Order: sequence, then C-alpha cells, then structure tokens
Amino acid sequence: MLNIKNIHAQVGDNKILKGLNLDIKPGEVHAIMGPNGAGKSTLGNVLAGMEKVEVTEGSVDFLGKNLLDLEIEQRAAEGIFLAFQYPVEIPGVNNMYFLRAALNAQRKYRGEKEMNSSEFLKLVRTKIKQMSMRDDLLRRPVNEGFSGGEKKRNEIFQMSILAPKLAILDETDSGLDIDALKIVADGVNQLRDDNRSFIVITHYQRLLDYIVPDYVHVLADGKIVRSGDKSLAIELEKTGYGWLED
Amino acid sequence: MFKNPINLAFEVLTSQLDEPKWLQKKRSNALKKFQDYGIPTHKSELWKYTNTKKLERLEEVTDIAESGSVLFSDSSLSEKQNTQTEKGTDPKTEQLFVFTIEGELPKNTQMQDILQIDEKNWKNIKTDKERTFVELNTAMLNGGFQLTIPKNSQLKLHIQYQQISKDWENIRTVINVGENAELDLTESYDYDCRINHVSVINMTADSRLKFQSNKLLRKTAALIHFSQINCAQNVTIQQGAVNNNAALSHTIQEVNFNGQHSKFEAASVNVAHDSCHISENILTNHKVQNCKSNVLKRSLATDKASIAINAKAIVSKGADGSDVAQSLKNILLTDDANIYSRPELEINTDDVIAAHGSTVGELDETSLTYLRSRGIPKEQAKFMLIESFLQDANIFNTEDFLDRIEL
Amino acid sequence: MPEQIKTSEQENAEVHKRIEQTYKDGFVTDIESDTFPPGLNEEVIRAISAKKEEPQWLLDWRLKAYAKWLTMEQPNWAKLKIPPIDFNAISYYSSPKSNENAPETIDDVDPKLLETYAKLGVPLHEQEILAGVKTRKTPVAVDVVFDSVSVTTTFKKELKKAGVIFCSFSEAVKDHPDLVKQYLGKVVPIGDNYFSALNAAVFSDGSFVYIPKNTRCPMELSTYFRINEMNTGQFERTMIIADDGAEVSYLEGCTAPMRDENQLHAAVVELFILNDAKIKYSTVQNWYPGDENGKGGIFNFVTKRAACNGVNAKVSWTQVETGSAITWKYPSCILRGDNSRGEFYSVALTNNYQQADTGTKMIHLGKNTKSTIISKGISAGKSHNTYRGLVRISKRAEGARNHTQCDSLLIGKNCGAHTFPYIESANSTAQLEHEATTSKISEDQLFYCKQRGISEEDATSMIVDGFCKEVFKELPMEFAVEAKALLDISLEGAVG
Repeated sequence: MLNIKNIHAQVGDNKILKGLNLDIKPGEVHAIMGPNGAGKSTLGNVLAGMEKVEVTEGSVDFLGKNLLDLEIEQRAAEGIFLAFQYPVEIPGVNNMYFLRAALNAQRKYRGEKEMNSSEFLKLVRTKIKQMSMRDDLLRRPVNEGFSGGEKKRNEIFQMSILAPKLAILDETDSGLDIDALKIVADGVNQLRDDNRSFIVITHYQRLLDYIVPDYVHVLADGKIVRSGDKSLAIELEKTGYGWLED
Repeated sequence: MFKNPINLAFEVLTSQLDEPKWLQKKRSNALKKFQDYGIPTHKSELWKYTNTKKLERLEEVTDIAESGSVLFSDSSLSEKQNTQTEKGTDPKTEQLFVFTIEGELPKNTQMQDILQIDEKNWKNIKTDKERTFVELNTAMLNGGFQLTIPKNSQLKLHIQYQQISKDWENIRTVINVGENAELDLTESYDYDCRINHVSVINMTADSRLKFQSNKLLRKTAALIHFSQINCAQNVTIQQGAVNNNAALSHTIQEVNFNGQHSKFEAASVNVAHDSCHISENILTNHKVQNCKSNVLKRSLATDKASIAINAKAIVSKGADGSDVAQSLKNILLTDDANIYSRPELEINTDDVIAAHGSTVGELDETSLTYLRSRGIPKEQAKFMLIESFLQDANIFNTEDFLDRIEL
Repeated sequence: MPEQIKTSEQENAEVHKRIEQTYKDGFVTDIESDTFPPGLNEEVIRAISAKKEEPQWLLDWRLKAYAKWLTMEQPNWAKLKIPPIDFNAISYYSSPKSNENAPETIDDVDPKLLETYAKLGVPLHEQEILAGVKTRKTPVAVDVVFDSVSVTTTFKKELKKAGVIFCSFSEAVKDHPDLVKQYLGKVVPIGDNYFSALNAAVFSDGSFVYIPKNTRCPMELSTYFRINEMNTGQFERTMIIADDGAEVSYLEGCTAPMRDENQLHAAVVELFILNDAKIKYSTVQNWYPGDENGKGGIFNFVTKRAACNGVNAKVSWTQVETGSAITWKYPSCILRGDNSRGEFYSVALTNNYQQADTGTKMIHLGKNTKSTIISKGISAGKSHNTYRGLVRISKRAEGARNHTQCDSLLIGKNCGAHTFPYIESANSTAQLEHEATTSKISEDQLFYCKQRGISEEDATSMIVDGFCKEVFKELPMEFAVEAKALLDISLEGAVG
C-alpha cells in the first residue's frame, strides 16, 4: 500500500531524513519509535505534504500513485490522514461545519455523492458515542478551548469520520492520562481492518500495549536502524536509545 | 526661545562665533526652516497633546553650573579617563557634558567636538513640521560631540548633560558603535535643565547597545529630545528609560532597521506629578526583513499632570519576517490628570507577527483588597501596586530602578 | 531562497488572473431620469429645496451649510489617497421621471424600478413578503432610495398602527416638521466635517424613523440605497429617533453599477436614543469597488453618529464593508446618558486597489457608560485597510469602561493593514483596554485544513469567516448569510 524508498528530506538547510525506507501492506500497523529529533514527525509531515519540508531524494508510492506529486488535500482525499501532534486551533470555525466540509471535499474528489446534513449528523452521532466525547465539542470552534486530551480525542474522532486508508498518529499518546489513552486506543482499534493501515509514531511503549503493532521500527538520525515485532518495543523500554550512539 | 527673541539670540550667538562658512550657512538655513515650520500645535500628530505655549512661560533656571566654554579635543577624553568622577561626588562642572568611564577606554576611541568636525562628517537629519526643533538645534547649536567606538571593543560610559547657562542648551551628539563592538551607555540630564538635545546613534553590523536614559527632572525643567538610532544587520539593542516630571518633556525617537536580524527592545517608565507633561513618541521603522521590535511603556499620571504616549511601527513592503510588539499601560490617579495612549501599526506585507495592547485604568481593586486583607495599610498597598506596575519596565533588573523617581 | 521568491511571484500571477471578481450588482437600469446638470452653487441648492417643496427654514439651513462648506478644506488626515474631486462635475439631483408623482403604493412604482430591486434581491411586494412569512422569521419593511429620491416605503400601514413613523426624509419634512426641526443636525452639526457640510447643503433624500415611547418596532426596518445615474452623487440623510423605552433594528444596504468613473456617496446618519431606548443599526455596504486595476468605484465618505442622550440608552453599529473604491467612515457614539452603552462591530474587507479608513469614536460623557469595539480588517490584493478609533473618557465619566479588540488579516505581500487606536482618558476610575493583532492566515491552520482534504481556497474562506464570526453574529440572521456570501465573492481570486 505504501512504499517509501530512500527518502531524503530537509527543513531549510537542516537535513532530517537521510535515506528512509518503509513498506506497509494493507491492514498492517507499524510503530515508529526513536529518540527526540530523529525525524519521526518529519516522516508524517512528508507523507501529508507539509510545504516547508522539502523532499530532495527518493520516492513514495501510495496505492500505485506517486504521492509526492499530489497536493496536500489530494493526498487526504486519496486516504492519508495525519493525526497531529499539536492540533491547531481555528477560531470561529465550527467543528461540525469543518468536518463536513472536509468529508464532502474528499467525497467530491473521489466522485462520491456529498453527504447531506442529516446523513452527516447521524454519522457523527454514532461516532461521538464511540469516542466518549461530549457533544458540545462539536459546536465549538475547531480545537479552540479544548484541553490537550480533548484535542487528541478530536483528532481520532475526525479520523473515524473521514475513514482514511492510511492513518499516521503523531505522538497521539503524549499528554494523555491512562483513561484518555484507552479511549484513543479503542477508537483506533475499532477502525483496524484488513484494508486500513496505521503508522503509530510514539516515544513510549505504553501506547503499544493498547494498539498492538505488527512491526516496530527504530528511527534514528533520519533512517530506520532496526526493525522487529512488538518485542522490540519492550526491549527499547528497558534499554532506552543509548545503544544507538555506540 | 521663539520668534523675535530667537532672531536676536541667533545674532548674538553667531556674531560671537568664528565658524567656517559651511556651518554658518547650515545654521542660517536651519533657522529659516525652523521659522517656516513654526512651533508645532495640537494639529501636529506628535505634539497633539503637548501645549508648546508652556515653553514661552518657563520659570527661570536657577541651578546652573558656572558658565564656561566647552573645550573638546581628541585628547580631552583620555584626560577625562584619568580624572574619572568618583561616585558620590557632585558631577556639576562648568561643562556641558561629564563623562564617566567604567573600566578601560578602548584604544582608538575617537572623540571630536561637533563644532569642529569637517563638513563631510556632518550628517543632515531629515526634518518635517514634527521635527522642527531639530532645525532649531542646528541653528542654535552650542555644543556636542561625535564619539566613535572601534570595532570589537567594549565600553561602559555614563554621560551627564549639564545646564551651564540660563538659556536653552542646544546639544547634538553622535555616537558610532563599530562592528561587533559593545556599548553600555547611561545618559542622564541635569534635573533643572532646559535642553534641546538631538542624538544619533549609528550601530554597525553585529554591534550591541545597552542604553539607559534617565530624565529625572525638576517640575520647572524643559527637555526636548530627538533621538535616532540606525541599525545595520544583526544589531541588538536594549533600552531602558525613566522619565519623571518636567514642565515639558518631549521625546521623539526613531529606530531604523537598515539591516536584517536586528533586535530592539525598549521599556520606559513615565511618572508625572503636578502640572507636568511628558510626551514620549517612538517610531520603529522595519525597512528590511527579519527584525524585531518590542516597545513597552508604563505610565502614571497624578495631580494635574498629563502624559501622551505614542508607539508607532511601520513595516515596509517586503520586510517579511518582521516581529512587532507594543504594550502601553497607563494609570491615572486623579481626575485632573490626563492620559493619551496611542499604539499604531502600519503593516505593508503579510509575513509579520504584530500585536499591540493599550490600557488605561486605575489600580486593581481586587489586588488592593487582597493586600489590605493581609494587614497592609491602604496607602502602602497602593504604593506597592504602583511599584509592581512600573517594575514591568525594569528590563535591566536594576535594584534602585524606582528609587530616584518621585512616586 | 530563490524558490520562495518564485512561488510568491507565481502566486501573484495567479492572483492577478483570478482577481477578475464578479460584482453581480453592477448592472445599469435604463430609465428616464430628471437629472440636474452638473455643478454646485447656491442656485442648485435652491433648486433641490424647491423640488422638495421645502419650508424656508430648511432652505436657510442648507444655505448656511453651503457657506460653511465653502470655507472648509477636504480632510487629509486619513491614510487614503483620494484623487482630486471636481465638485462641479457632479450632478446633485437625479430622480426617475416616473417617480415624479410620488407613487402612493407599490403598484404605482415604475416596473423597471421594481425589476431592478428584484434583481438585487430586495423584496418590495408586501404580499410576496408576507407569503414568505413561513421562511422568514419576520418581514422587513423597506425604504428604497434610487439616486436622489426615495421610491417607495413598504409596510407603512402596519407600522403606523404601532405608531412607528417610517418614511422618506422628504415626507418627514412635510408631515413631521417639528420632529425633523428638533433633531436635524443635533448630533452631526453642519460644520462637523467637510463631507457632512456638503451633505447638509445638498442632501436629497433618505429615511426617517421615529419609534414612539415604550414601543418595540414590530418588524425590522431597512433602507436600500442604489446609485444608478451616471455622474451623480448620492447625498442621503437618515435620521432615527428612539423615544423613551423604544427599540428598533434597522438595516442598510447599498449597491451601484460598474462604471469607470468614480462616484461620490456622502451620507449623514443621525441617531437619537432616549432613556432606556435601543437602536441596532446594521450595514452591509457593497458599493461598486472599482475594477481590478482600481478604475471606477464609489467614494464612500459617510458621517454616522449616535447620541445616547438618555439614561440606559443603547446603540449598536454593525457594519460589513466590502465595497467602495474608498471608504471613509467612522460610526460613532456619544454616550451622554448615564449607564448608556455604545457598540461597534465591523468587518472591512479590501481587495485589488480598494482603500478603507474606518473605525469609530466612543465619547464617554455620562457615568458608568460602556463601550465595546470589535473590528476585523481583511486586506488582499494591493489594497490598504485602516482601523482608526478614538475612545475618549471625559472627566465626569466615572466608572466608564471600554473594551476594544481589533484584528487584521493580510492576504498577499502587496497590501497593507494599519491600526490607529487612540485612547484619551481624564477620569481615574475609568478602565480601557485595547488589544490588536496583525498577521497573515497561519500556515499551520491552512496545512491542517488541507490535510483534512479541504482546498486552499475553501480553507481560506473558512478561516476568514471564522475570523469575522464575532461580528457576523451581531447581524440579523438574513444579513449574516448575505454578508458571508459577499465576503467570499470579494475574496475571490485573492488566494493563489
């Protein structure tokens, strides 16, 4: 589904990814771990298409398309979803309105019928229950006045509505208490199926107790330096990343 | 100072001087310009709230140093170095300036009398109706210096501006700070002064300035100050000012960013009592990209005093990456006092961060009640709140920051 | 980085290409008019007054204003570049011929005019409006001003039942001379400023509203201004009086045909709010802004002022300004009555070569007076957008409060956003707060929206709408929808 070959990327003059390879098949969950500054978030931003990250070398194939040729919103409509580490606030823009605009823009791109407000409302009602979110968050402006945990939950809620093919969770666990973490993980697990894949970027093994990955990769200095299964995450929890320096 | 008396004064002054032709010409042209502009009125933006009529009714200066001629030569500064004024001694001398140098004077530091410089070294200052007193300064110039600090050097300097006559002292000072040099400058003014000061500071690339300006003035004093700072790239400036009283204290400051990545941070305190008037006007001119200016002012007016604050930032077209902040806060203690607060932003490109805030109010009731509930008497509690309000502007974290102000 | 420069150049090219925005109200109504030849002198003023069959006192008042105007100079303190105006090249009176025998009811109005307003979406047929009652919350009574005259006023009967007077200014002069005489020029004196003096001399029509004591106006009132004739100026004068305990919501809309020449609109609005009364005054200003090269468009030089003369009086100005080549406008509040309140909510959007210098004055005279200012400026293209405000607290305005928030959004590298908020306080118990920010649309917000699949253009419009939300929510429902749509149209092409 996703094939990343030898990606080099930089922000300004700062080279961050230095030849990263990753292959993801439908239905797989890949965890990306690694020390601060290794380039974990940059990987998510490259896939989503953030303009200030410049890809200097390499290719990304997503479901047979050259992902790097696509605009940010085209990638989204093709099925890429990024759950942001720091979801941005958009004052005055109603959360529901925003989400419906997003969903319908994506449906339009894919040649699907746009959803009317009653269909949309129904969809939202069912999903919001699953996410244990308060409905008043929907009427509030996007992320404005949300607590850290609410913002993260809102990301997963948006993901459940937009139903992407590949979801990238960028440190979605950071700043969450254990209850919120479980809710977020539940949300993700409910979406897991044979056709949907996940990239879970995290610092801690803790999240992986709830979202069990098929593969764990260690990203250091812009490259994947080790890959393994879930046991690698447990090992890292014990040994830390100090060994990378040797 | 004005109209007819000024013509007379001008004649008296120029007839005494034996000056080169070019300077005589500058003086007479300047006088003409000053007279064409006229005295600013309330129609003039930067003088809107300043009653210039007050200048004609000033009380006589009583406390003057014995008059004497001001002598300057290249060597005079190094002599000064040997006779550093000790702390605690009365700095009053018959000279317009008293220099106090802490530590070493860098080699190759140059000092020249402004009246002795070559024509080619004289830099005209662009004036308009608002800056009419700059022309008067040129016409009536009676002292000043040009100080040049060599590159890669450091200097800590205190300049005291003195009142040596009963008349207006028209002073012009130019300070050039060399590449990668660092100047720690403190300026203070005679408390019973009548000074029209034009100062220019030119900051070369990578130079740094720590600048403290103290205008602690008598209620009958008058000070008109035009200050210009020109910044090449990568310059860092921190400026702290304390303005207390004066019948009329009016400042126009211009900060020009001519090179990228320069930073200007300024904080000032204005406190006025009785019928005093303080007007502080600052313009930060973001002509190039990636410069940062942060202006903070805390003002307090009581009795019948008035304070007019104006902070303006202009970001030119193309000056992307500019960062502008203005914070003007004011407290009025009596109903006869007046505050005029005017933050202004003129932004001509989109890649900027600009924000300003301006408030006028009384002391916070809740805080006052809180302090009193802890047993602090009302007057003392008020005083504490005023102090903490003004402390916002203490950017150098000096301990005696408010000691010399009449609160 | 060279890449960056390139993209911004490309962006600019794109902007230029797409900036050919459509001004849907730019058509001309082909109608026979009785139009004065251009020129301004005492004779013209006498002729206007004669056309209106005005009493002598009003003619004298006009002539006094004219004499005053002759001694005045056009103000130049605003941050505007105003090309010289030849006041003798303007016609000061134009009226559709068919309107000569003032139509009694809508059925007497020239069908061409009705068609014009149908095209503009202004409902004039009362039956139709009433038939639509199900879909609209309340019907709106409309006074329609076409060039220099009021064409018709709807729902007069219904309003009369409630004791509300809603008619053209000319009718008010005839039917309610005492009210007009009592209030005319009392909050905008003839010599107040250059354009108000000109207006006082040559004003031709406008709306007049009087809400009697303890009456809540049964429906929203609105005036629709239309400039049609070439080379004419529109100089209307509106007056609203809310007597003790009265309440009214008034809406104002404006459009004009697309023309290469600039046209002048110099209006005066005077509001009087007595004890416990309330006026809510909303404007959606969509005068023709000129083309993408800055050619043509309306000069909108307007003086609007409200006098809160009574205790607990309240006035609220809400404006959405998207049109006009140049806007010079400062709806103000004189808070004379104790506990009176003034509010100013504004969205001003400029694109292409438009210039706007707008804001408000809050003059606090009474005790415990409060004012709120929320201003949102959006600049795009090569336009310049200025907020200019003054909050003045007089010595006796004990306990006065003001809160001001004004934010500016810049779209593109060639526009300007300027903020000049002045505060003058002479009372130690007053508290004033002003906050302002200026920035472009955040890259992070755009990235977030785009990542969710929303195009840049839609994301921009969404963020701009969100930015204006605080002001839009002050508008009556239907106006808010219109304002939002207008904003989107005016922004079209501004995003590359």
